Amino acid sequence: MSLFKEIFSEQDNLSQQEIKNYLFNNSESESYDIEKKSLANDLNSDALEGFANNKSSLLKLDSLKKTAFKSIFKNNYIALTSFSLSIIIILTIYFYSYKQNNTSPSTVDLHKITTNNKTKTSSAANIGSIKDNLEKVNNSISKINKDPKKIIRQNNYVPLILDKRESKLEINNNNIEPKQIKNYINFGTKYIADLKIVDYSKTKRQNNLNKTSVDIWNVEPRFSNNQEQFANNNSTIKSIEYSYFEFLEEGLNLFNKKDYFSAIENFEIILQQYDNDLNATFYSGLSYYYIGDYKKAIKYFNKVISSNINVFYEEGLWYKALSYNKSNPKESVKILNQIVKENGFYSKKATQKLKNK
Amino acid sequence: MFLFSKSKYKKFSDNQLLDKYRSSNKQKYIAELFYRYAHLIYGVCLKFENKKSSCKDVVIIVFEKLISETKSKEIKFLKSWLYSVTRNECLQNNNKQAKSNIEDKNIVYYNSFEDNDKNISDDIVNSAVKKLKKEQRVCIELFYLNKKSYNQIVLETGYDLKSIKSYIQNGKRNLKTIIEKQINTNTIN
Repeated sequence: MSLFKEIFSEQDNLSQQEIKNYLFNNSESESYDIEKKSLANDLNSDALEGFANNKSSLLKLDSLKKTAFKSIFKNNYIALTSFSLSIIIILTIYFYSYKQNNTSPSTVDLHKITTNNKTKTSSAANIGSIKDNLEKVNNSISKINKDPKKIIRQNNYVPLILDKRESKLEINNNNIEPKQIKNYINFGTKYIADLKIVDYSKTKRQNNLNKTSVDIWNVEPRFSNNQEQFANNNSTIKSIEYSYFEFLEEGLNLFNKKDYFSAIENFEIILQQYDNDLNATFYSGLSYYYIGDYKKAIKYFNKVISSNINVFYEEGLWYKALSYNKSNPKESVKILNQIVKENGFYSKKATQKLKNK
Repeated sequence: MFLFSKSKYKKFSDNQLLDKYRSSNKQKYIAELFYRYAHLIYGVCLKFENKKSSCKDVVIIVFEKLISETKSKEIKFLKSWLYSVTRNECLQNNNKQAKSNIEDKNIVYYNSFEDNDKNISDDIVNSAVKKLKKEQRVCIELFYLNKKSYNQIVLETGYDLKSIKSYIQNGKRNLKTIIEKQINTNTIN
């Protein structure tokens, strides 16, 4: 090689490993090559100098490179991660809903019976399955027949959801009055502010509430007073979204503070949007009971008792009896007797009440 | 992605990678350049930047500039472009009020002769070396002719390490101008 090329030839970039070797394990032959490379251009020479003055930063270099790389090429990363995340979310939602559909109580079997009976596509296997299912139904019905009310009142009882068709079936087989069988749905309970509530969070119901409020105090400059503003502008009416449980908790806290009127206001807002909401109906009934408005209270307790969610069934009956206490003593004695028969949580209290009368 | 870039595009030159990026707009080509140059840029930052903690940010800024500017401008000498941009960025950070006057010009390497001139005889080079100052001449002779490393030169001459580096660098620069002058006078004659 000519001398000129020796001095002025282009050189490769210094690699990270070469810089490390030069600074930490110094062998003469290798270091000459690296020095030659570093003299070839400013980038190499100044980089080598920079690392020579800060040897410790060479050890951090890999992690620094990774973070820098991520922030420079972030678009790709964001696209990739968001894509994979969305797929995971969709899969989990699908899996969850699929699982929920499968675990819904014994309706599937009963449905099979009715459809199969209707269409009469009776292959031998079908008939076999129908017979099996019929036996199951009969067994469960005979269990109910032995002590129907006890089973109904258990909170964690997985209920039979029966079609009208099924109830006819039962009459033929077992001569049960269909009125006695109540269709309960199994619901979990939860405690907010030390008060029992129905846990609606596990259902498919949306758990949001809209509270409309009128903004009276802020008058915009284009209106002379707030009446004019209210007449002309809808924007003063604001609709705010709350989470259901937050709003309920607010109501229950008011209830605990014995501020029954404002508690009822809160429950009313819930009932406007979910008219079957059991928490709001039961606690507004109770609020009316404590205020002394027994007529309204009884309305709400009737709703609670007839509801197909049995979380507040016993409480509803008990307070209904108490609210009838003054206005209609006969009715209250009837209900108290019913409570004693059903042998639930309030049965002891009910027997004492009956003794006092 | 970071791992792939090691092997796949090794055969491409810097300018080829830039061309491919310009035509395809795929960031993987810039990622390969990142793999080649990030540590060097970081090293240059360590030299010039006063705040060592902001070196990482400078690396990010330089590559973002590269991504945005390759579309509008043609960068002929990537190495010198990267060097000048990082140095400017560091100097600006150090002295934000008095903005540095250095502009982003394409610096031509002092070793980048035109292709025709590459067959220059040893006599011309040797005579040019003799015209250098004493320290520069000694260092260049020891380094390029005797192939001795910096440490060995320190032991032989007694100069300190930093000055040896600058002697060789400045010597190279002067050597280049001397050789260019000689070639020009030869062609005129």
